[in-house]
Amino acid sequence: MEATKTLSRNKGVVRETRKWLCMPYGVFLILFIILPILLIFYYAFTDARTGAFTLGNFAALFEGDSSVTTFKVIGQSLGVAALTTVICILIAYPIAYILANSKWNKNIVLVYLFLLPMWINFVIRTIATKQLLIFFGLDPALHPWVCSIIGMVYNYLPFAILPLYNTMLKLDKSQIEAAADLGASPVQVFFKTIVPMTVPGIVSAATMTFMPTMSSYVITDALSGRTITLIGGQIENMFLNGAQQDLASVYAVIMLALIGLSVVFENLFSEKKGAR
Amino acid sequence: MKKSALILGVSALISLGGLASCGGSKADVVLTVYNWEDYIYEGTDEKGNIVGESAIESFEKKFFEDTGKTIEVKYVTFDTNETMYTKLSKNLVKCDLVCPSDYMIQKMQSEGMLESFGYDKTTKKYTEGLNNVNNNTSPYIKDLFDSNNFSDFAVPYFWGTMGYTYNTEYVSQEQVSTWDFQWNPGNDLKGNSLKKKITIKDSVRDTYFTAVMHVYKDETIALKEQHEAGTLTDKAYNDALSEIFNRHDTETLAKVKAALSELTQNVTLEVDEGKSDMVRGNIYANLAWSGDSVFSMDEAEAAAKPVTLAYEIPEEGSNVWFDGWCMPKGANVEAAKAFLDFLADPEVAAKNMEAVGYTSPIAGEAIWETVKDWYEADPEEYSEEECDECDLSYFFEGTLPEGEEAKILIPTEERGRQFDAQYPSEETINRCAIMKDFGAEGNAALYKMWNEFTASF
Repeated sequence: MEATKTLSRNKGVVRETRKWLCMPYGVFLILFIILPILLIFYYAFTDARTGAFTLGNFAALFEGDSSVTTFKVIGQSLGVAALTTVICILIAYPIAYILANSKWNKNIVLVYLFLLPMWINFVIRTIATKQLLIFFGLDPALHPWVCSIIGMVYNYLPFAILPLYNTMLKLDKSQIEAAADLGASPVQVFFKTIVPMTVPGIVSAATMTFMPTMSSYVITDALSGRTITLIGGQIENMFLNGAQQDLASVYAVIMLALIGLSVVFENLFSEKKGAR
Repeated sequence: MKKSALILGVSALISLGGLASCGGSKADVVLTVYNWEDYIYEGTDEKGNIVGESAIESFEKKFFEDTGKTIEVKYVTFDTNETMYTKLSKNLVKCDLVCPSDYMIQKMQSEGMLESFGYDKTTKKYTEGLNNVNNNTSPYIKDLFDSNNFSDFAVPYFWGTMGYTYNTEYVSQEQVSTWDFQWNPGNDLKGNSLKKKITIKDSVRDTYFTAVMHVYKDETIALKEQHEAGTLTDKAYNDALSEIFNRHDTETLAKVKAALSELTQNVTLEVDEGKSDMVRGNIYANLAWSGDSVFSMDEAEAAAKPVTLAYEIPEEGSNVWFDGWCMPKGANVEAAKAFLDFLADPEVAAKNMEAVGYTSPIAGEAIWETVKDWYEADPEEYSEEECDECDLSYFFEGTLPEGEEAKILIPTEERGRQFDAQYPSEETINRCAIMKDFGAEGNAALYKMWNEFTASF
């Protein structure tokens, strides 16, 4: 009797301690995720001098000459992100297929080879990429777009390969064989069985590359001589040059919205496929 | 669960330990110094090996010898004026000494953030302490500080100019002797286009002034001619140039904006890679601070494929900048002054200058010997005809032992290189102006224009 009592009391203590152990995560969540987002919205919707609520910061970015700059920066960001995503998937798809097929990839050495660059910091890799491109006669100053996209694709390719590779591993081989046996041409087999089965992989590869490329700007800065300005770079400029937190925050809100949109798209897509 | 509890406990202990060591110091006095990265002698050689006592350690010893009190110097660093300003004004860093640049000193002073050093404008001396600063600072720097009203709130630490670093194999001195170079780069010496082989700074004020000097070229050249003809004194010339240099009215901004938009076809932007790009031969000209230029020239000579770089300050006029020590309100004045006086000892200044690569505002024998050691022509290698005699008396006047003249023989083929970048001639320095703060509204308009420019490529 006495023993069970202490035991249950101990259980209560354990439960209490467990609760407390969650505290650091709660604090982390509030300090580093919720608070910063609230701050972004606060700066974006208030006047820097008076602190009163205003939509003037949005207006400042979208009126007259400023709107040209704003649309250009957003357009370039979307352009770089979309181009990188499409090229990454086009390159990653066959690679993932080959890697997932044990005929070609007896041990997983090949997979590691493709993932190897991820283990080295991307800033260092980008400096090396610049020197390499110059060595091959592609001067980033003269071909900023080509060089930037090469750098971006190189950096984000593993993010596209990995989800595709994972889906390809689970491909239902019998379906492919059945399609071939029933007279489908290789092209038909590919589009009627393999592609539909790998849609979840394509969708997650697309988000895995699109979202980080949207907000990244270090690679394009280095490989375009800072001539391609993306949203991230513009936010940095606005902070460094005279602490224009309000305008920088408007950009951050826009970026959050764009990323939010791409998440919504991803969910829509995968749900549809899942329901099928 | 147990494991995570353990980790939590350990990390909590570590952080507690960290806090404790912050709170209590065994020293009698604590002096917090907030400085640029890599901006003091750390007792190491180029490869980072410890070879001697760092400037800070020497100061701690000297302070104990002089006062009988122990002192602990806490050394914190920053990377741009703007981050430093944000951290200080938001009280994220508390320090006794900080080392901002000219326009930032002006801004902090106008906002009442700084403590006075006690400067007497009539005798042009600091009244209490700072004897080394009084005695060893170059007369040129003293005047510069005095005439711009910086002396009471700032003690100079390093200074320099801005100009082009260029690759002599591809670019001639004549091409970079004018800011027009950015607008009409033309061809290199091998006949290829120089477009996009030039980088300028992704730093508002530095690139802005090059455009101002360009759009008001008629005025600056007219001033230069008057000065050369002797109808304008050095001071009047520099004052007039300063006025143009710091223009930021609406009309100037519009003109500069138009001028900058023409640049997008010719240049790319950088803040830090310019040095290595010059050394590797990726680009042929780079808008650069004099100290960075000296660094590039040294590196380029030592590179596996040696490259000859040189430095030129365009004729329209350029910027002379400096970083100075300031005391934020509430600083420990006595300890701060002791530290600055220690830094103004020519022996210490020479070591710092050697480690940092920028030019010290301190004159005096130790510095002069260092300069001669670095740059003076070796009589066995060069005859007198192959050398130029350079006169640095504007800088060293009154600080050298009696009978010693501040004249130095420099090999003609070495002109326009490290020596001239570090110690510009009096003639060059006459056409270099100080950057002034544009005030809140001026800055806002400037930044807006700048953000549009950087995105317009």
